[in-house]
This record gives sequence, C-alpha cells and structure tokens, in this order.
Amino acid sequence: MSAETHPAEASSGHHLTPTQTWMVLGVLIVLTALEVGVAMSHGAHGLVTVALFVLAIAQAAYFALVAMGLGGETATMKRLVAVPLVIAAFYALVLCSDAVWRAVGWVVSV
Amino acid sequence: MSAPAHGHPTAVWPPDRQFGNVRPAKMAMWIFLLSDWFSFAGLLLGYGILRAESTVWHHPGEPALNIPFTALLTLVLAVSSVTIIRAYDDAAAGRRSGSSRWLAITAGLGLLFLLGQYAEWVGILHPGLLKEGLVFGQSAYASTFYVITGFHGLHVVAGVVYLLFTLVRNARGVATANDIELLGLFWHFVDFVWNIVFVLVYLIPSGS
Repeated sequence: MSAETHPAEASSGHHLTPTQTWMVLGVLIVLTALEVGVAMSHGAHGLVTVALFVLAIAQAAYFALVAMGLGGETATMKRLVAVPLVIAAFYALVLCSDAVWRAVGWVVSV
Repeated sequence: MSAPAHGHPTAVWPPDRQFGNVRPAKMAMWIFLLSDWFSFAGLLLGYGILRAESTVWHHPGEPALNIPFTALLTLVLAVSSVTIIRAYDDAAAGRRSGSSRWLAITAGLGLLFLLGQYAEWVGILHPGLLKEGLVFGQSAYASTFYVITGFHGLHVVAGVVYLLFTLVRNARGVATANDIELLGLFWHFVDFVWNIVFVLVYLIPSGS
C-alpha cells in the first residue's frame, strides 16, 4: 500500500533557480535571433537550410531537456520521449528525400 | 497518510526502477504530448513532401511571410515558457498569489500571441495575408500555411483556456504544484512545436 501525502509535498517536478530560469529565456532568444539571422543572410540555399535544421534541432533539444525538465528524468523516460521524436524526423528525411527525387526525375523527363 | 489542505488524499507511488518518481498523471501527459506530436509531425511531413516535390513553391502574387513580426511572436511564446516555470516554482514553494500572478501573465502572453496571429492572417492596423492574396485552397503554399499555423493556434487557444481554468483553481486553493507542472508541460509543448513550425514554414527559404 502506498503512502498518501499532500500533492504539493509529492511534487516530482524539476526546479530551476530564478537565474537559471532567465538563462533559459536568454538561450531561447539567442537561438531565435540566430535562426532569423541565418534565414535573412542570403547565403547559399542548401547551406542556409541545413543551418536552420541544425538550429531548430538544437532549440528543440534544449527545450525538451531544460524547459520541459526531461534532462532530470531517468534514462528510460528520456528514451520513451526521444524515440518517437526521432522516428518522426527519420520518416520526414526519407519521404522528403523521395519527394525531391521524384521532382528531379520529373524535371529531367520534361 | 497526511491530511491535504483541500481534503483529497493523493497516493504517492514508490520510486520506479525505470521511471523514477514520475507520477501517473505526468506520464499520461507525456504520452498525450507524444501523440499530439505525431499529429503535428503528420502535418509537417505533408508540408515537407509537397514543398520538396514542387517545382514552384511560392507563386508570383502571393505575399511573403513577415519574418520579423513572427520572430516577435516567437519571443512572446519564449517569455511565456519562462513565466510558466516561475508559476510552478512559486506554487511548489507555497506562494499561491505569486503563482496566480505568473499564470495570469502567461495567459496574457498567450492571448497576445493569438492577437498577433489574427493580425497576421486578417490584419488589424495593416491588411493581413488573406487580404493580400494568400487564399486557402489557392496553392499548396497557402493551404499548408493556414492548416499548420491554424492547428498550432488551436493549441494556443486550448492552452489559454487550460491556463485560465488552472488560474481560477489556484486562486481558490484547489490547484497544486503538480497540476501547474502538468499545465507547464502542455504549454512548453506548444512553444516547442512553434519553434519547429517557425523554422520550417517561415524561415527556410524558397528555392524557386
């Protein structure tokens, strides 16, 4: 039989100090500014796209691990969340590559 | 067993070898968020395939998206992610008025984001995308834009309702820190997804 306590006492959430909390905001602002800067840089299309993907993945990972507190959970819990996220990204990579291949084939045949 | 302030005793599960101290409610929220993620992933995947196989994505006459304005909306959501963390910390420390204040600020920022999205779609001081010629059904560019940002907007609406509901419960002394933590997970997820939408839909340049 499990013990019973006040829910607030049993809180299993992660705690951030006020300084850490504002650091989260600082990191998010810097990453967003970097993304906008890269997008408006008029660089090579492929290079800009890859850089934006890398920044988006970095921001998403930071968000999940720090703001959503996944970094403080057990390894099993982290895998439980990470695997579906990565599977979706893998499908996207495969199917978008296939779409590009078909589009290129269409242009060549025309 | 201790007597909780609001009279509803809650079972505390012993730490699990694999999942530690994660409560069933928190696990349920994570599972819901992952299933919701697949909804977004499906939409973004469809967007990616349509865009990748199109020879012309952005047709002449269709307005460009306002990146600086949307970047400001992105920052609004980023700030709201911080304010919800402050709400949880105050609730965990037993500072109910503080947590209520942060919840109200978070809800206000959510409403500000929705107002910004309305201004972008319909227009407030300037004509919106609809009046500028970005019409749903006219092109894949227009349709995917409205479907994806609209689906996310519905999540913001749901988040604001959830925030206001929890704010009232918190003010009445019914909500606990754990309730606010679950709310925070949902709200962070809304921001998490927006960052991906912002990059994929707004920032990746059109090759044609």
